[in-house]
Amino acid sequence: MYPYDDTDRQLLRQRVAQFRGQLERYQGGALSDDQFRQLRLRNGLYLERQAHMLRVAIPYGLLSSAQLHKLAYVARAYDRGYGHFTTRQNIQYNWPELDDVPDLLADLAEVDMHAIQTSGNVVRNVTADHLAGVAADEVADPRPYCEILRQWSTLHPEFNWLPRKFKIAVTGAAHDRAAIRLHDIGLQVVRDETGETGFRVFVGGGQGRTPVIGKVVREFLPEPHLLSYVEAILRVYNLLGRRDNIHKARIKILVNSLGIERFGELVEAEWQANLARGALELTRDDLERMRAYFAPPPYAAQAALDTSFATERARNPMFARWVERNTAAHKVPGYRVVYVPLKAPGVAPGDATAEQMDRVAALAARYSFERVRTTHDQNLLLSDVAQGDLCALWRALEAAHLATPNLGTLNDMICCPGLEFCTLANASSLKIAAAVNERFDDLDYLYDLGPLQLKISGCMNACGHHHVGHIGILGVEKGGAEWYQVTLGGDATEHAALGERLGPALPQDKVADAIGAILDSYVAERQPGERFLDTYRRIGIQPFREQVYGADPTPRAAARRVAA
Amino acid sequence: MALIRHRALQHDEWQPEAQAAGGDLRVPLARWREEREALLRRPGRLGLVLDSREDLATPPHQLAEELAADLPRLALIELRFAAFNDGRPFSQARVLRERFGFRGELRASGELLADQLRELERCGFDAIDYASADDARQALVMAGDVDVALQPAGDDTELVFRRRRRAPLSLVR
Repeated sequence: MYPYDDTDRQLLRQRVAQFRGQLERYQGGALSDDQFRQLRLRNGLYLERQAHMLRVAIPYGLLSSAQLHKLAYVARAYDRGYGHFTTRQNIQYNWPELDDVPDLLADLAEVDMHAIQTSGNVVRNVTADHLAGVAADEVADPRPYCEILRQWSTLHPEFNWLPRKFKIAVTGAAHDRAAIRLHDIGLQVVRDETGETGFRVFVGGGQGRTPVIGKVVREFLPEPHLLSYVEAILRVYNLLGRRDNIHKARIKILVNSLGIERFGELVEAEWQANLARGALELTRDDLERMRAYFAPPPYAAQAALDTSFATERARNPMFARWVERNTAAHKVPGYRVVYVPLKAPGVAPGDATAEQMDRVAALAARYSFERVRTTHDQNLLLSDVAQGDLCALWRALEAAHLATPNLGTLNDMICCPGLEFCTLANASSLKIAAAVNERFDDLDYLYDLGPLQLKISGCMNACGHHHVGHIGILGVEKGGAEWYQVTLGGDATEHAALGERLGPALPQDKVADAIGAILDSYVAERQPGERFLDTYRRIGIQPFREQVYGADPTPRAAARRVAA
Repeated sequence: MALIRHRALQHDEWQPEAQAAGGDLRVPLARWREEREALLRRPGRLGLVLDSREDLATPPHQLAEELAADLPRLALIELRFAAFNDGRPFSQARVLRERFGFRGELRASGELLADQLRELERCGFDAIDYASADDARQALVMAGDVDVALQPAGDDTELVFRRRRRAPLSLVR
């Protein structure tokens, strides 16, 4: 983990003091509402439906136990005892008082945390594959690059007023767990035929009301040029991105209007022209030093010799089920990756109480080298657990309601905060999540359905990633009522695809029924070994459509059909 | 108007276009394009005023290339912010300074926040013209509030992780 030094800490202290001053100027009338809004957003502070919301950065989803304890403290001291982990690996608090925010930020700074650039039209938190460094399939650990990008983009003077927000994700593996094709810039670490390390660079992906899958702007960018090339992309975007219409201001719109080739030419020209100065060129030494911060922890050489794990697994079916469902392979023999799902029935997806945060932090200190990760599907994970510790860890997680063995199932859904919390939402995504949890509570049925991603957004801004859910649900407002559009076939991986609309929107009380009908259709049509997504790709949307809407796809007929 | 140079309020010797009689003259891009040769023949210094919304929405090199041959004869380029959150002048300033070597005064004007002084300086602006003396004074008061910089921009800051390994920790700023 990258350790903060005097420079980083001084920057945080100064930034907290600066924000305190900005708040005072606003409250004293020296800053207008709009001016203060722009400034507070650069510090992660939103004004939401009922209160202020503060989003705290968790760079590439990596936390120490001490940091997670502090997040628990903040939840107790400034919020209502819980926090919400987001799809960009951050955490947000829904109830801080405006006057308290400078103190809250000062508390976070004590553990080297902050809310810098978690909102506003700036480079946001850089995200990464949640299995970085422990996945067997990666070319290289993406986190050193994330940290280099984080330091370079923090309070960058040129890019503090971009046309719109800007999200970067990095993966070190060909199998994409970081949704890099749905980011403004997506970076995949690759090696060329000579063995040189570099990046495949995607640009212009994104969700929101105009979902676009990112395009390759450069097949191979040599490693030393990471920052100079990203700078060139941002400069072209900063000058040419639209500023007249907030809905057309993301880089994806610019890339689409210029065409990827023309956009790539402009970036290439700008990049080449500045290369000679070399101020941003990464040296071998820069990279090695940064990589050293992310060196593997001191794994026990004897971990794989443990026999208690196999014994417990054979003896205790509940434990065996949890191991099968909620843990994953680790590249080091004798270790497993342990997911801590924040998707228990009756809980908003991604929410964790202060007690749960403290518990996970303590368990990480005991069993996983004091490190906790957040995932883009709103769970936590302990990345390095010796197999001999798994049973004790499972019991402790069980006691904290953090061992629901539903990872990767329909119930492990992504969901935005929706109408109850967000000023943008026009539907209650959380109610849909609750209805799904209630209706599909038979674990054996969920297991039989196999890997399934349900993603729910309360409005077209798509914070719940519905476009790339295998099943996507989008809340819309029609005539003062909440309706829900269903899409099928979305995918956020290296096979990225946007979901196709199933048919007319459904009323809230019919959504769970419609999902039931879709699943029935899948079960009836699937061939052995086929996941939902495979079946969908083979047979297309029509059989699902007919199952939900019948031959007559009008809303009234649909409502009748699912009611029957 | 209240002009800051070198972190101090200074007298502005440049007059508005209409009031400039025989001496220094700054003109908008449209007039420059129409009267370039005549303007270059006049005595007195010449400046160019570019509006962020009207003039700067171009590929990075395009505008600078158009001006490149004449840059040594321009004493001033003023980038006017149509809105404080219109970030185009930050990038244009760097292109003019770093890639095209513009050495004259690079001035920011228009709608600016007191909070933006340092980021303007770091992108190569050496004159910042605030709309009011209050704003300019506030900007000067706050100028040192955040003085840590982690990356090179239009200044000679080094990448922070490179700087770290040369200096004892306590000296790293």
